[in-house]
Amino acid sequence: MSKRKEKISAFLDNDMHRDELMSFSLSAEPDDAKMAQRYQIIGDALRGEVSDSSFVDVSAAVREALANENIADQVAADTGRSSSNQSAEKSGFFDLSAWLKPVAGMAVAASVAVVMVVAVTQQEGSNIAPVATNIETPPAVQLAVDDKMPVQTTVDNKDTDLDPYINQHLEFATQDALQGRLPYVRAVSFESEK
Amino acid sequence: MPVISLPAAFFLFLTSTSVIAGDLFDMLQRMSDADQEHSYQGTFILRKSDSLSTLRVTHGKDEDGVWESLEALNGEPRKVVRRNNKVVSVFPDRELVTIRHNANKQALHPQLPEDIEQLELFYSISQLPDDRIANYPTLVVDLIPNDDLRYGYRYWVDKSTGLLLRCDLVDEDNSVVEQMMFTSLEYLPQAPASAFDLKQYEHYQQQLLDGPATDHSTNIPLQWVINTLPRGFMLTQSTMRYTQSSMAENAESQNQTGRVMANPDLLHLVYSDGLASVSVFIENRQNGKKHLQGAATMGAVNAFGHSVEDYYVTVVGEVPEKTVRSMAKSAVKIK
Repeated sequence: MSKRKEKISAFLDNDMHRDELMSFSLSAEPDDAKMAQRYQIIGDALRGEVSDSSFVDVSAAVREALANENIADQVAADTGRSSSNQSAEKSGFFDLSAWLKPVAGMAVAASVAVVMVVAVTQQEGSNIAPVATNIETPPAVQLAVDDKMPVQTTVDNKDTDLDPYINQHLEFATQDALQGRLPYVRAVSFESEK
Repeated sequence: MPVISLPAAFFLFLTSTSVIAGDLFDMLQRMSDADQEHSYQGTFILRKSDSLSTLRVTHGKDEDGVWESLEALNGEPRKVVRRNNKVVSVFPDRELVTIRHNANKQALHPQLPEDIEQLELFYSISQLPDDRIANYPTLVVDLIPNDDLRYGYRYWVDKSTGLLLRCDLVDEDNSVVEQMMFTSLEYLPQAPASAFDLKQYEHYQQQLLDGPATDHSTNIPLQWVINTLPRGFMLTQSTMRYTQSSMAENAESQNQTGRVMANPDLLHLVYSDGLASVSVFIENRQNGKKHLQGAATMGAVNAFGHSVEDYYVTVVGEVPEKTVRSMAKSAVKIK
């Protein structure tokens, strides 16, 4: 097994030291995502846990996240700004655009790696999962808690009617023996608070 | 001082670990069976976030099965009696009785996961020091998830009967997000029939809350896939239901023509790891009703709404917000 493969395997097994994570991320290569996905599927199969989500197309997730991140555009904009100030910068000690390219390249590589980390660990639920918030929308703003409003929703959602969904969910959740009477009590309590 | 060889010590360790695990699973099995074997009456509290409710429960069994009555002791007076899949709610102040039949025809006695030992893949199960709840000695068992995508469960179980006397749901910080706990409990040779007698409410207005029959087949061809699932979550049910607007439309057409016109238009998928469950609802955006966009919280139950193409995806479950969020955002329609 090559060193790279060993590292990917260690990463998937959560055996990678935190100090190694950053350098691992920065050195991500295009084939790493595919290899990680294969390892993930093999691992799931060995554990008998293969599900639809085992087959998440990590490469597609990387491409999509890159498109969303629009890092290339940001770099171009930054480069444009640097071009407009080229004369001023060139009059300085060094050409800023010459530094921007490798830094931007590293940013893209890091982004690919981070997205790969997120995509691969979504199923893992590892401690790295919070990174996912970097590529998602910010958490919704919560209203102040009000005793008469059992469901705290986002500001834009205060008129939405969640009751049918919650009731239907609780109706099915009551089958779960290990939850005891909790789902049923939730349903009764929920109805009473409406 | 006796000397034990390393292999022998390791063998003893393995043996004791499996004995403990076996005992814990036996206890969980007893907990799940206890409601079928005992009649009792008691009071418990339910804490969700910052709200607190007190309820009185009367639980009985007879030759026809199991009955249960729940009575709210704070807020608007109400009583809920359930028998198998029939749930009757009584609101004395409004002289109103509502009747609902749970669509999945489930028994009152819920089912354990087929392979309870599978839980060990996703939760670390351990026994904590014994405790006392409602004056009964209890065993305490912790099921702490191996990731932060589901809640942990802490059970206090009556040592002699196996009845669940307290249950805490805890988040990744070990903070309690929901709690149910008996404050008083009395085991009865037979539950008083008066607790389940609904004749006194016959003159109240009665409302049947059932919608039209829905397709409960688990073989509905799925046109959707949820790409991001916590490990171990599997699809356990897929059902076509009616949205609120379709139900209203059907009620109107049934009054006018005696026929139901609208087709089921709400896909309901249920995913579970054997302990926690999450529902995914998918419907067409033509429905003009305002939909949840973003997050909502009710105690341990979190919801997240999200638009995908021409559809609304609403995910609801007793799991952390990050889980419902990622599930909603990973919903993809199969082309």
